[in-house]
Amino acid sequence: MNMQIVILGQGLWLQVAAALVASQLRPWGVRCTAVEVPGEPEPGSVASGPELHGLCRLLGQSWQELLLKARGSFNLGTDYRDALTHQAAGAAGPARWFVPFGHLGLKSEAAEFAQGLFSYLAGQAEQGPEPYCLAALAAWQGKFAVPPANRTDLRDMLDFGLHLDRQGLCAWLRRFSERQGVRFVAADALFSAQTAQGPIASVQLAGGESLPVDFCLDCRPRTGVKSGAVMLQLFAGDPQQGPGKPCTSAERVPWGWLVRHPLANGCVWQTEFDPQVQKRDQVQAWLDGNLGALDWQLRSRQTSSPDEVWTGNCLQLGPVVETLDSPLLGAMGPLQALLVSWLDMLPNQASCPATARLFNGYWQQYREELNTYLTLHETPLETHTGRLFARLGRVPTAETDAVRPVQLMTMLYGLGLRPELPSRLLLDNEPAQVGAALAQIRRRLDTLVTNMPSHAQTLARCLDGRPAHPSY
Amino acid sequence: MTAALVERQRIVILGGGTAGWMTAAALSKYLPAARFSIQVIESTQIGTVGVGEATIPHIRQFNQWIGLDETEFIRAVGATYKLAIRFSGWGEAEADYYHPFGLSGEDLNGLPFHQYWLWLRQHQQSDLKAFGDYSLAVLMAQNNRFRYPSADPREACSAFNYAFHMDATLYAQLLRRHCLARGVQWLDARVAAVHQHASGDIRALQLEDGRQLAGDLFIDCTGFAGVLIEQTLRAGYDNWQHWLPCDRALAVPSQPDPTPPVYTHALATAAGWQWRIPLQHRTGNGLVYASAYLDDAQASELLLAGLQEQALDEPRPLRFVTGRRRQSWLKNCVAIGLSSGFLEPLESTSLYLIQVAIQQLLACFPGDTVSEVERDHFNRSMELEYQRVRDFLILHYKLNHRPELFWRHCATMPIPDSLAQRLVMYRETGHLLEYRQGLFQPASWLAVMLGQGCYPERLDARLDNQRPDAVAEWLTGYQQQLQSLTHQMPLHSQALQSNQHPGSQPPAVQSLYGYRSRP
Repeated sequence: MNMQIVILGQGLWLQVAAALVASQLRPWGVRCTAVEVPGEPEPGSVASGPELHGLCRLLGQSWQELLLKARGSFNLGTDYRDALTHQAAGAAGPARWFVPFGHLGLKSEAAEFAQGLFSYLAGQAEQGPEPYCLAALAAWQGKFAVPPANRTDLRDMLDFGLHLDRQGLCAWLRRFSERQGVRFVAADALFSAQTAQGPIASVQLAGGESLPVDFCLDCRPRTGVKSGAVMLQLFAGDPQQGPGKPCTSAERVPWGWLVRHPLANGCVWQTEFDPQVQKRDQVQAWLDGNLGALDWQLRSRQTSSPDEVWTGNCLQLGPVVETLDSPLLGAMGPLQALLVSWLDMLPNQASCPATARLFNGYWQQYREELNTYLTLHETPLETHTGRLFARLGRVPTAETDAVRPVQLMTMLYGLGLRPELPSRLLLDNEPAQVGAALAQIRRRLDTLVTNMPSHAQTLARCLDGRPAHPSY
Repeated sequence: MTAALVERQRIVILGGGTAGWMTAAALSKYLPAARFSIQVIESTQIGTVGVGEATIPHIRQFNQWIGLDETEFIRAVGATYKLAIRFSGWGEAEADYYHPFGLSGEDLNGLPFHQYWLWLRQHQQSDLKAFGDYSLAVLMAQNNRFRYPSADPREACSAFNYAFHMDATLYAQLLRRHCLARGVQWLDARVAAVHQHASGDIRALQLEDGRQLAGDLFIDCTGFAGVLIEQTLRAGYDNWQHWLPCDRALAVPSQPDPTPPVYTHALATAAGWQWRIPLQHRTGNGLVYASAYLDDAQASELLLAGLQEQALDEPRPLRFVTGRRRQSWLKNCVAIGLSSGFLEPLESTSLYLIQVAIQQLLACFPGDTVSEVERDHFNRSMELEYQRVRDFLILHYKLNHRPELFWRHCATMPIPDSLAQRLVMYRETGHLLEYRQGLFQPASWLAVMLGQGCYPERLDARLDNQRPDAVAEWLTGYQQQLQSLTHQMPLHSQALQSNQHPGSQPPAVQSLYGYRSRP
């Protein structure tokens, strides 16, 4: 296949795109050139969910290698704390909850388990589903063991991603891409030349070099003056804090959320605020007062994105991925999802308008599902998902992998929503039987966690290049 | 919020038939009698349409769900196994292909099998067989063989699933017995009037014998009449006849086939199509046609002339308007079955749509009040299911090169945007997108598209640097393996005789294609 793909961008998105495209298309004879352009600073960490394993599979690499090279830590989900809202509301319930990647209970296929658990909890003094979630139990106790390959049950319960040092990850991805034959070119400025029919025929670098293009992946965030709603992000590394728990932390602060990614050597803080509502000085003062003096850096995120990612022979990935680059979401998930989808339907000619239209439809669906997830952090009942959960303890069927049902349900439950109606599919079960079954599940999960090594121990083994021996 | 419900919730199902009794069976399984009363009002003076003689594999899941043993089911309803639908005369008068409950081929080097098949076809490989010949379910159907699929996805026999041909009237009777044993009340009565609350919710049904039956939730299973959802609540109806122009059917039973095929047969005719569904005790036959192109007398003549066995009765006529109720759940009334919409039985989806509606109703079952949230969710889910099945049905009509007036009209008629986009994308690259929610996945679309001669203009660019000989050799070996497996299997009639051990069948899965694909 004699195809030239040019990837434009910077930092993480450029490296992910180059590695993924090269790994998938090089065996078919496609040539890739990555053009690095200057851009805004990036946070020092990347949080990924289980989609990372998909990326590793596509690259033909192990997550252990990635963890080792990018000095990261494990990620079982997000540990949320919201003292502000609960105190303001005079609520008695816990101001802490866990949003896991892995499922609740012991079996992923257990129909109606979550609904049964929510009904049971409605009659109990304890409020949260965390005691019935292995990932939450492990994360809160600072424990983690890599599930053995033959224990699919444990793998499902402890489905995990990684926090990675961004520089380390980018460097590793770049070496990978170079081994795949990707040519990297640095350019301060570039121009694209379109053919008379519309597609981009070449990319002209500032130095005069011209790169012929069959397909262009533009991973640059929106350049120049950003229009529409913009969020500002502050981020800083803190070398003093160890990896601690195997999860992302998110704490509600007066302007939004303060997110912490633990790494092998320190951690990275990120937060985001709306400059129309909050002054940067106030945010900075709060951060300095609560976290000590750190080297905070600023960047911006446009929140509205175009509906069309794929036009002609170009994927405008940067501007659309940017809009979902919230500290509350993984930095790689949307880009990876879009690239995998594009590779699935690889165009065979410069213009595939129908394919592009369906791809854009997929993107819009993906964006809607992630935006719903973001929205329900603040105003859950303004979403159909939130209202459905509050009424029936269910969430709508997703059309993409953007957010898992367990994430939606545990998030909504953590925010204080309680299903109004019990599942009618479980009415035949006596409450005493349900209670006994749940107590048994809880004991099993407690035993599993008790026997787990600490996150620090498991991480140390992995970073030493030793196998992460499980202990259950 | 509407209609405050009383402590023991009273559920009234108006109409029996398969929809009414399937609903009653599922509700009585999950809703405890101490808290819910379920009444089915069915008039023996009103006939049932008896939809759903041919099913899809989901029926097995439904039976398992309500606790109906498969062996008992087969005996009671005179069932035979079904692995596919055979389409003859679709696309071209001489065309003959199968839409199997199974996958064709296997992905190679990360690319879908059909891309390789199409590519070899372009290279005019002489050994290349028809696309369906790389499907185990099709080979089994062609050779009239049957065995249970394997639930182990590593085995070749895991790539298919099975359903049944059955007597829908007997199925309704079986379900009725099942329901009565569970405490469901059955009233043989006709409704004279419907009483509503000021809110518009239905309060009670006035029966012709003078009784009044109050309820909290009403399920309308009255078929095309839509006594509650339409005649009372005026939910409205989206007419899809401009996309699916057939509007009449004739049904007639004939003598049983001593060696029943393991597939449903759909034979395209001049202005519609004819079905043949083999049961143990009789054969079901019917003609679906467009009255604008064929009159009733001609249709009857055509149907009877096409029977392979002697007719057992006079053809029974049926008129229908293809489409969907705008809101299947309105006020405190839920329409299930033909009262919520009609899609012709070309892909045997009638019982599936009933089953999905029941599952959604149970998932959204209201409490002491009925809220907009569950109604919305139910209606959205059902709308998507109907639309996606509708598009797949239209595909069969749209893709044709037949010369008759009816078929020429179908080939040139406008189609929904959702279908048009899928078709254009397929023609552009040969790719098809999977749905998350919806019945028919790419394996089904490919069976019909390729079966009816619809080929993409271009294929995946990655194929360019492959060697046709090597790929063709792999395909030949693969196909021979499937053939060998097929010939080791028992004949369909033998399997029907021997599979009489309760619990011997594999677990039911919610996938048309067996145990390899996501439900």
